[in-house]
Amino acid sequence: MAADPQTPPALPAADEHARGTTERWPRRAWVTARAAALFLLPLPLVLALVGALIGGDVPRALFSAGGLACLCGAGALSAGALVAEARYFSGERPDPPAIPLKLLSALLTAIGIVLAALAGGHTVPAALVFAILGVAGHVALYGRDVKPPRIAVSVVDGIDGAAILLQLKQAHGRLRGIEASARAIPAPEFRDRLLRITGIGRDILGEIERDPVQASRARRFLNVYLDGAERVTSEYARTHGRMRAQPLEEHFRKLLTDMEHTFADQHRTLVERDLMSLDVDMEVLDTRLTREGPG
Amino acid sequence: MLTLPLRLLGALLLTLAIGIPSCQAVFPVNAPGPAPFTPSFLQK
Repeated sequence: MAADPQTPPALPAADEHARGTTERWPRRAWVTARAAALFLLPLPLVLALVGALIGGDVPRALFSAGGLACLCGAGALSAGALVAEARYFSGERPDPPAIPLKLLSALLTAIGIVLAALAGGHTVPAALVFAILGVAGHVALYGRDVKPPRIAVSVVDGIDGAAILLQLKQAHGRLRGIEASARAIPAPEFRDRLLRITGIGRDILGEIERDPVQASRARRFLNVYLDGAERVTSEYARTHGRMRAQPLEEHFRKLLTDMEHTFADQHRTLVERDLMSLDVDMEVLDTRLTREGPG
Repeated sequence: MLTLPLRLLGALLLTLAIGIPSCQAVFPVNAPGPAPFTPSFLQK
């Protein structure tokens, strides 16, 4: 049997396990380091605080304590933002945090750095230079706050816009969950196919957003297919690093092919209905113009 | 593509911006340093 050129060469189970382990651990360690950085870096301020208290240096003690409190608070906000972001991108929560946690964390970082620099005996301009460097580093390391995608459901008589909006948010969450699982699958063939599938899924959701009447026609897609696709993909991503079963891979490949075709068919159906509806509207208007003439 | 280098640069900047003032808070920059060591036989 000829090998599929897109199929990656099969690795022994031990290699596969090792690859999964080596890819996952640095990523986890990196995320943990990012979350812990703002707690660990200001630790010398504890010594400064103790030293200032022993020496009876009240201003330095206050600056050190303030800087420590601000930087630890910034760390807590950043860690919260990273957790919320991870849950949003895995589809576990429909919206990113409403409060800009990273922005607040950057502000607290700037204040904390100014206080720490003043405790270190720097002048205010020098402290501000440190603060600017710190904010730049914060933005580069943690990124900006995630903004929710703008979902604007058109108003149509007889359609519950709020319910459609909720359905669309859930559907977007499931697509994000599929993408998060896809990134954890080492095989590029499956990853690319899943990303194509989520792309078609977003097109379908865009159609529903434009014409909410379509939601009833895409009921099975919204309630059954997306949920099933997310569940199967996350389970496959979870188990794939631990064991490799050839029949399971073949089955998953077939499932993804079928899913892609079904999603594409669903999208085509919605677009065709849209075109048909436009065609009927044009015909009605043309008939009225012909019959009634100028008035 | 640029994400990892950007994150590393951010980590470096943040380490410098917090680490330097925090360490200097332990030993303030304007604090009087120790008196230069002069052997007793050279002291007048």
